[in-house]
Amino acid sequence: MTVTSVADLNSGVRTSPFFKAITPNFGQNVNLGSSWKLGVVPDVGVTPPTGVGEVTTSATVGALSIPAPASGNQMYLRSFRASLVESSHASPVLLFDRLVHTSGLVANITTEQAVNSVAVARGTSGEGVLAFMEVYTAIGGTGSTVSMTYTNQDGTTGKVSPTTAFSGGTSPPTGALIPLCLAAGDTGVRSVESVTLGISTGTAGDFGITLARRIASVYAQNDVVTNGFTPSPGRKADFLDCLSPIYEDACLWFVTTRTTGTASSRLMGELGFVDA
Amino acid sequence: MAIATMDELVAGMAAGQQMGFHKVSLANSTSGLPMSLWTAAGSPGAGSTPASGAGVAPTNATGGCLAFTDPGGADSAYLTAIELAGSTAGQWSLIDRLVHTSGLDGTVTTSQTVNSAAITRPDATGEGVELFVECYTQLGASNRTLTVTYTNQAGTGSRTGTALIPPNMRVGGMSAVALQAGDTGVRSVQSVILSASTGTAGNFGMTLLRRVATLAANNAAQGVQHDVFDLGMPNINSGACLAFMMYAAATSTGTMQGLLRTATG
Repeated sequence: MTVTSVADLNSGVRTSPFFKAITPNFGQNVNLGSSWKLGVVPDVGVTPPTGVGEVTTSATVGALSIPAPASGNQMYLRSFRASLVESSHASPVLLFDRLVHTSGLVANITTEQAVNSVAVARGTSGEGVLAFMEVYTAIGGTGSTVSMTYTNQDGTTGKVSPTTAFSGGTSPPTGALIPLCLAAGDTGVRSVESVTLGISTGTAGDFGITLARRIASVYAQNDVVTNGFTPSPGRKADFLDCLSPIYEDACLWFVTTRTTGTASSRLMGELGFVDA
Repeated sequence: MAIATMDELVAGMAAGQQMGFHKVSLANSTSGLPMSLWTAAGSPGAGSTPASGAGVAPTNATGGCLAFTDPGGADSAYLTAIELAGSTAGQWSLIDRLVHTSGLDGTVTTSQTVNSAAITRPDATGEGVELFVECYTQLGASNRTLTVTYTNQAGTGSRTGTALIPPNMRVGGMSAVALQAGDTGVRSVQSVILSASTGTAGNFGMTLLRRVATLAANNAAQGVQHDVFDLGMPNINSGACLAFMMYAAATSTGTMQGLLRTATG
């Protein structure tokens, strides 16, 4: 079945709250910050297996618990509310279905590192899937570039991405997340075969590859306060903004942009679901 | 069919597409001038420089566009939501690239033939179609005026318009062609002529496009969201080659990322 009317949207709405404690300098010197290794709801995510990694599901530690649809029904995201509580942390809050993740790569070598990740399997052949470099143990502060060899949305192997630069100065900490570009003409990733850094960052650390499908986002306002605990106004997306199918075993995961603040912050809100 | 009720809209949205995207920054020569993100790396991957001469009419099968799939049967596709944030404030437009060309030389001061390919989507008359200069290899340091000879939306040929070529026009740089008085669109481009050499041959072309939606962010990183009622549910024609252009409030476009949704019905 599927949602076919306004009445379907208002029948049996269920919610899943979330609350993440964001550490200072989250995502420092890179574009984005992953909440995967942050608590509280959902719990701190597991560091992925090394090598080929794993396909993540709703049972993977770190995934947001979501209601299961009735038998034969399809679950949909109906609403998305989020606020960021911290001084000067203006950020989109992005919701992804985390499909595959790996770890065990090091940031102090420039030779090709094999990944040979498992392929994405949930609702996509790779079309629309984004690839990220995700840090699990802080890497070095020397700026570098990263590129990957991957299989694209059509199953074509050996595709080589353009290099993506990430700046130095302060070591990207746990949670630093760098979106990887695709080769000209590609629109998705099915699996990643290898990763190569252009320059050693100076510290091995631990990073991996995360493949994910974007679902929705809200944009939390910039709210500069002095005590670090005044809530930002928060933002809300309703079905007009975010109506999307959610696969039953989806591993829901939040991403924000970086903050250079020295105060901790909190990401909190709730997702609303309907099934029909 | 067309979506005509709220229930049909909800059903269409539930069955619609979602297209995520992110693009790296491109350097602009002049703050405030439009920039095409066609050749910017990211996801989707960068588009290629078009064919020279008459160019081509790109479609949703052309590498570089968003992964839009045509609706089936008699259904139409509509843009119902878009959310976008960038590291630079500015205004982004989601565009359908109807025709694009390249191979024009920034040092040639005689008439350069274009005779652009025909528009193939329902915009075939050219009504409402905008015309831009687009740069694929940097031009020279001297700003110039480009005079364009084109056919308008009524099929009248030998119409002329002008565009500014800024100094050191960079890859991705765009410049709007001001149409002749009374014209409301462009069907094809016949030729162009520079007022003088820019100093460097480079490579530029002509892009005919239709804007699908425009959204603006006053502050970097804050992001912007529009739902179906903000957007007015514009049609996305079958075969649309969806891409972005940006008016950046800085000398670079900044990184950008977002998601757009469609409804089918």
